[in-house]
Amino acid sequence: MLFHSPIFLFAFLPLTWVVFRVLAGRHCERLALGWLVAMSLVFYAYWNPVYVTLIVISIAVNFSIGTRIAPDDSRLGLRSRCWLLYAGLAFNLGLLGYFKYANFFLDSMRGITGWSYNLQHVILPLGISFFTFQKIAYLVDAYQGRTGKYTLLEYCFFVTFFPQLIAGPIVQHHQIIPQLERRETFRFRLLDVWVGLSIFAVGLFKKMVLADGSAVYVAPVFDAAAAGQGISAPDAWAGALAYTFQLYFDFSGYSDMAVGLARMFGFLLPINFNAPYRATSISEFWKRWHITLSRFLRNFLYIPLGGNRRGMLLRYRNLLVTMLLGGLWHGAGWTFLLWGGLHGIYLIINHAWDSVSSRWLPMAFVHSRPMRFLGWAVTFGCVVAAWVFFRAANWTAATEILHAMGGQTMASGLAFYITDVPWLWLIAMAVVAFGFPATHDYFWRYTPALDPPRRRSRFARMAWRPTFVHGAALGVLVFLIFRKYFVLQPTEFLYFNF
Amino acid sequence: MLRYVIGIVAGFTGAGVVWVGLFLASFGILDTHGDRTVTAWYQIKQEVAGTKSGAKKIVFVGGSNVLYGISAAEVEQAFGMPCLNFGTHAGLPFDYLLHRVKQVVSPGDILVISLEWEYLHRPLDDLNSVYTGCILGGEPRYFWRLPASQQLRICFSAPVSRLVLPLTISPEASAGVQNVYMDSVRGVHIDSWGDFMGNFPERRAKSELARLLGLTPHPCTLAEAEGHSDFWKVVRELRNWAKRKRVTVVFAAPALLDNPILTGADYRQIFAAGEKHYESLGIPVIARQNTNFYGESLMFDSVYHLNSAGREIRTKQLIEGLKPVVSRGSTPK
Repeated sequence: MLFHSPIFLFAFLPLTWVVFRVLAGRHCERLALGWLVAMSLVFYAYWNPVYVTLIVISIAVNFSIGTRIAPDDSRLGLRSRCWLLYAGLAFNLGLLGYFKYANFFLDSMRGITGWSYNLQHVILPLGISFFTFQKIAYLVDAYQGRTGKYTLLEYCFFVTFFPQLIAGPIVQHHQIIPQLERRETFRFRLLDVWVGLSIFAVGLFKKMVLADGSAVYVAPVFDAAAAGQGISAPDAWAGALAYTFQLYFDFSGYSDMAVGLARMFGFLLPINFNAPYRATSISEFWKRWHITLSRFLRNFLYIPLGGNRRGMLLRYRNLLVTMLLGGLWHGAGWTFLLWGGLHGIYLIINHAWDSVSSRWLPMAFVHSRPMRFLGWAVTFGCVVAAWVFFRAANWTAATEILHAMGGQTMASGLAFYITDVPWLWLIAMAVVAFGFPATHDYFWRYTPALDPPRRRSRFARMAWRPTFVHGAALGVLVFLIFRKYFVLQPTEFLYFNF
Repeated sequence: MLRYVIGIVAGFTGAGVVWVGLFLASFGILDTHGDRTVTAWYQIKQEVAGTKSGAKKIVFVGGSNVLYGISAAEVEQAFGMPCLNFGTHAGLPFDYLLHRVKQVVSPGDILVISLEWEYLHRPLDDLNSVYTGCILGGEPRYFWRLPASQQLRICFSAPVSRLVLPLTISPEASAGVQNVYMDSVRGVHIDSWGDFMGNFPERRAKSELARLLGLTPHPCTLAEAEGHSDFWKVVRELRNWAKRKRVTVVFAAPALLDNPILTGADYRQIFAAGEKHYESLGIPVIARQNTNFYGESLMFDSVYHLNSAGREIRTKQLIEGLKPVVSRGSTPK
């Protein structure tokens, strides 16, 4: 069920919300929570009922392991707890490995050795990459004694709560479950509904108008490259830039919708995007892009690998390994691995430059406006180039587009690009991505999400308030969303594939 | 909070009113090269039809496979009766093609439909920029004939570039530009039979042709060809209209590139099923697909577009197919 599908908007959401509010209003908090868990499973089952079994089994296994390995009241010794933790990790990674990587592994084996083994094509369960990471984080925290005494219902809610179930933000138990213990979470506040609905509408606008609007300029270029047709330089740039904006608005739109939906029910989710294309370095980009994933990779991969504690070379190795695995997390394919590797290399260069510049160059120069602009331009260019690998069907198509972007092409324009429309559109997208406040900046007065950036935003003065002007602005966005229902069938979110 | 809600309603309504207002104000204004070209073709073909009224005539209707691939001039010469090539663009819905051709067909005429196979696959209310640009700019009357649901779709799916047109050009100025454009097309691209004049083999861009021929079309499925497509509803309506108007309707398969996929068993089965369904609806088939494949040297710039050499071959075949129909001069069963 897609957040922007009519069945979700006009049936599932109102029903779920009304019953939740009635139950919560009568102080039946447990029942209200149970209702949300049940409806979240219905939400998941709508895509493929068979895989509800998978998520239920996974919850049961992880919860029972988690409660046994917590040091506070475990009857097990350290060694047994450790083995149980490994078993839990193996279980989660095994599920992810089978469902997400089995086909990729066998195809790669076939390509390398010629060995052929016929495995029935495995369908990737929706959101498995996201909820697997949540559970791994929970197990590790439980082992380290950082979890409370959660009930099964609380744990189920933490895993299945439908706004974040399919494509994040990747929430951690300590972000969600403590909210359940506060009575005011269940209290009805009209402001929550309006703030939630408004954030949801902004997300919907990003998805349906901005992301889907960019998509029409992406597919012709990448499809042509995959079919081995020549791409002209302007087409290649238009396609790559359009995809850069499509992916951002698609995924950040989804995250906004998730945050808005949760807020309508009185819950807060962590922010996932903080205007990433304004980053002036790659390391800053990763603090702004898919923040919950970056945090997970840092806490559960980069730091356990040694982080920056064992010298420069090992730090670079850790960065590269983390980003390679981060790339593989996004998709079982060599292009994703390349994308991750490329970002790993970017980060290594970034850190190397930081250490060189901090030693040899005056700080005033490094942080001067022209240098920051240069940093932004280089960062954005590198990110765009890496997205080409992320989107391209294969290595050949990606290099074809990158060569064309570098001017190494003899091809003339595609028929789709006989007008200047893509450029006007791309300029508009750039203005929104670079010049407009991030959603949490716009709603900062009303604490839209968990962990908002502490720095006061330069957009503070135009922040959202429930006034006529902001209502009218939202009304215009809602109209633009409304008209999209006449144009397109709802399309899936890009991150559903990952 | 009430002010916020009022603001939302006001913003939504205001945006809607502005949108619809600009949309209505854009009627009669042609925008893109595609709108202008297709509208100019229709305007010229309508003029040509005017010169051929009175006598019984043969009218060819379809997408660009007709425009590029049939010589109405040669058919006219062969039968000694007026002929008109009314082929334009396959992106236009069949219902719209019929709406235009019904304006030039009279009782006793022979209507040869030669439709690209994609028509069977495409939804009847499929929108594209050339179609909407054409009807809003060149034929607003047709817009008002459409069901309300389609009118709303066309209105709300109109691109912003179309909505800002009334702010930059008036319908009168647009018509003036169109007249100039039409003069540059008349006698240069379209001749006095409605035939396309510029598809000489030596004028084709070989690299572009190779690219386009490399794209394998997915015309339709077997089920759609066998009758499970809304397209056939329009064909049935045409048959009934033709009966009432005493117009003979026949089907001629479009010209197609001779490539291994299109001539393969699967596609042949689909084409044969389509032809059979035309016949089952009482529409005779005068040229079958299996005799209408052409080598690359006879194509101009796509799998459906013949060059003038290919057109000559196809037209001869059509003349043979038309002979019994012309001599019979009968209405459909």
